[in-house]
Amino acid sequence: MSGLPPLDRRQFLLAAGAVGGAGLLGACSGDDPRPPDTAPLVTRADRLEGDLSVAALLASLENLMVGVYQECLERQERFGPHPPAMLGFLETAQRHHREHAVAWNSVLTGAGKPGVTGVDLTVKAGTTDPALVRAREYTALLQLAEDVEGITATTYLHAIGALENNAAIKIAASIHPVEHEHLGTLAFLVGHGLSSEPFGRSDGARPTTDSIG
Amino acid sequence: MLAGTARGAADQALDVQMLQTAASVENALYSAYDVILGLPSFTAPTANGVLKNLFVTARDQHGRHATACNELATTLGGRTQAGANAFLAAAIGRARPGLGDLTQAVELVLELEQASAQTYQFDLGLFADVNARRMAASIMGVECQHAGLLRVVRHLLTARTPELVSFDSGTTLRLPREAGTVGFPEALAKADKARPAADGAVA
Repeated sequence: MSGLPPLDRRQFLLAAGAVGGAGLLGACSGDDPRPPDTAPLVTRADRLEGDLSVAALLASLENLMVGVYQECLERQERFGPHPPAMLGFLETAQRHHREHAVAWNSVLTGAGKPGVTGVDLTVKAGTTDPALVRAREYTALLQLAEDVEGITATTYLHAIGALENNAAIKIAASIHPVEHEHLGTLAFLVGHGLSSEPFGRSDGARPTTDSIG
Repeated sequence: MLAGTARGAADQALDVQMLQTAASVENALYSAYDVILGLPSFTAPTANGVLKNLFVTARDQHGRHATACNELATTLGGRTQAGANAFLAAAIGRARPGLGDLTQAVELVLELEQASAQTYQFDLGLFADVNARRMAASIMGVECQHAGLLRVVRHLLTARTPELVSFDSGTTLRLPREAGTVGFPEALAKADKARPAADGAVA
């Protein structure tokens, strides 16, 4: 059982747009204040069933990337202006990840579940926070972007093989390419070019047991 | 029960067709990269090393992808597709006179990469065999990296700054803002350049 209602891609995209608007309104209304960062509400995606747990995990990863890129942007106050291409990457990719989170949250809310506003705390604590602490210049932030994009892309690859609902597969299939386009761009900005590995690997995919908050 | 069996056979036949078509697209890509790599702009001592390495890596990966698609197609009861996709082969033929120009060479392979990645993307929602779906997704990601990187290179060549197609220290600082954005034009990928499932099927 996927736990998802029937929803074709066109319906999904319409729903995503509507939910995106509703989400923005909610964020501005002040009715649902974000809990303090020191005491996050922690949950786990696997408390949902089947495909919904995957949707929650992917939403939490997308939210994490929005937050990480925001921190990278704010590091200009300490490091000085980022290179123009890096700045363009961070701002544009951040917008994409925000839209991806909206897409997955529309799946959740469409199934009567609350959307995910939190981030993948497991990846945050184990990967992104330590990297941000260590970073002393822009190149470290580019490397962090590549690492977290890689984790997310790998999780999408695993998800595409695990999802059962066809609409959810199509959504993942429309986001997975974009994450890899981000990676292709980062391969150029970081300066190492293409990996020689001809197939994507899913052995670094995040599980639905990751903490979200 | 009978209906289920008939559906299963139909699904498997469609899977085979999609894998054969994917192999035909991969063969077209391999051919295009191979032709371009034989041209003076890539064989000359002054050839751009970053671009040459990108093309060699991509060509070899497309060869591996074609092999993988054909192996799975034969596992599912189909025949091997050894030929290039006719529609894309025609596009290569039309572009061939201009391929000595780096920008046109990049434009051609980018067009083919997009067709290939979008074919996998479209087919992901149709594959009945979960191994085929997983393999298609694992190839699609790699090809989207090719496309993302090629869009950056195309932008730099079009802007007449080929010297920035470089991994030399300090190049990142000199890249224009667009080099960080042109690689990924949309938040949600489209599949309108996907080749039809039966486009490269082997009868």
